[in-house]
Amino acid sequence: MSALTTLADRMQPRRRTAKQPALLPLPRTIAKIAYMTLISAFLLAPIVVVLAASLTERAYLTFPPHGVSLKWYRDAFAQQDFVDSLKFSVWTAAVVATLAALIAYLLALALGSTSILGHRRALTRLVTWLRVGTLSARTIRLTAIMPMMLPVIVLAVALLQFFARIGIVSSPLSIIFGQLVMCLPFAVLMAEIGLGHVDPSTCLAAESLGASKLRVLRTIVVPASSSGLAVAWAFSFVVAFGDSTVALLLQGPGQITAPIDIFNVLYFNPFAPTVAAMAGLLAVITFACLTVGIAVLERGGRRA
Amino acid sequence: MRLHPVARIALGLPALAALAVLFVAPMVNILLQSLHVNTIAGTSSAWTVHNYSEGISGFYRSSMLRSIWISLVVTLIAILIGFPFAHTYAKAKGPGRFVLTLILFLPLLTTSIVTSYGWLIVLGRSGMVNTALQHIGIISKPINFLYSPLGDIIALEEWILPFAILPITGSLAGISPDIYKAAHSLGSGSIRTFLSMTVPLSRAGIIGGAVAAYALSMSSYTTPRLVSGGAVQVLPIAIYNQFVNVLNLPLGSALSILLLVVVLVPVALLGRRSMLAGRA
Repeated sequence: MSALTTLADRMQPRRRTAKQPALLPLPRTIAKIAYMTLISAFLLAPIVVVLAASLTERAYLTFPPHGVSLKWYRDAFAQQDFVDSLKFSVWTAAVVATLAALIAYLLALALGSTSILGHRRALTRLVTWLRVGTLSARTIRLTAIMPMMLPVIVLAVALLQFFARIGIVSSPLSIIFGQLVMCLPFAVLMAEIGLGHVDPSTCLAAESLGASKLRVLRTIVVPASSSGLAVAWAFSFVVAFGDSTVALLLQGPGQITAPIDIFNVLYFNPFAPTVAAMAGLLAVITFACLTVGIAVLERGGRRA
Repeated sequence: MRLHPVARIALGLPALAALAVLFVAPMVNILLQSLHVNTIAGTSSAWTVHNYSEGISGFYRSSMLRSIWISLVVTLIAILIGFPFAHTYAKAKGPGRFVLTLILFLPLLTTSIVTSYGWLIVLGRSGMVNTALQHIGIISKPINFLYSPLGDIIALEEWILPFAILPITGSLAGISPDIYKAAHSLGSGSIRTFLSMTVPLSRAGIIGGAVAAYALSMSSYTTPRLVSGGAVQVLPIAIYNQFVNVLNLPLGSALSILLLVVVLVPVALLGRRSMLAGRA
């Protein structure tokens, strides 16, 4: 009993200190908001500065900008090299995103089909074979996600060497294939998130009511996970569009992406407002794709 | 529903084929190439580890060590300033969460050429930071951010930070709120709860974030190239030069393999469970 009272006595002041912060929620919240704002400002600083600087009216970069005008954007669009590179970037990134999203979605479906789509009742002959199959599923997934951890510069030089050997180095295919490897890990992760929204019990119910596998896929799995497919596409597009290392090493005549065009111009004339306008345009495109992608992802998550 | 094994293989086949041709084959190719040397007559056919002994000595060793210390500094800062951010982000809901997600993903996905260019404007000798500091009177001469490791660290940090924050957020969001209630009702103060509960329980995310931050800053090429203009010789710049300017392809391949080893060993030791552990 006495032990309990001493314990209670000892707890008393402590409990008060533990409660104290609740009396001061305001300074804490303010500190939290200040911290989040500070870090967010740091994260956004270079992008905001580029955008702001590109709006200047002067013929040289100033920050804060003098006046607001879009004339450097008009100037950027008057540069044929830049327009060509932008077109090249958009169509190659769209091809890469389409390939990556489809391939990744199919892979995620194959890897996840046992866990998502539930129980197994394999033919005895196939049981051992299947177990090997599930074991290697982890390895396959790891290989698909590996390129994300792999130094991009190493991937780029390896692809440069390999494409030179098989003779596709001076074709847009080299950039498309190179960026495809870069995007696959992201696409696989996004497709898996999408497939996570599929409810296994709905699939089970449909099957027990006699629906064929193809029908379950078509009417339940694909519609429920389509947000994942869309997000996989959007992220792959943004990753391919934003890639600089692979595109730098695999660039060639007629196969220069927009970032590389800026990189090349930067070398000669870094502080021309036109360069800021080109860079600002890329940031705006990235921002637009990202907003749509995240909105779709959040909505898909809420619906599930 | 269980898919037929043949159907599973068929679904996975495009990805496997793409990975085999576009990932495994090129990597094996440079691995083999790194084991030969360049002679006047071209690449010799004899097998040798000469490129590796050159790669771990002298100039290339100092590039490697410079890459490692810069990456470690970037990683440490990313974890320290990323953790409080992740702590708030994990609890955010609604529009606040949406905005924070956008703020995290924008620097991560915007091409590093654009963000590095932004840092050139911010950190240049007559850039924003120097002008502001001189105006206030803190410094009399501009600080050389660019063409020094300091600029590299700042610019890399901005790109890397989200990669550290996201895994930490994931593991913090997984901690049950009941644990905090239990700690509180047992009289644990907020600092003690933080040190004895929050940090250990989010260890997987911290390790995952640190591994990702380290791996990405080790391998970044365009950011150091633009921000320090090649004045800070990190390993990726040395590799690029071997392939594009010096054209010693076997040595470049060996340096690539060395970079790969230095990046992937910590990933394999620490990050495998936390980063790559899947839901599938």
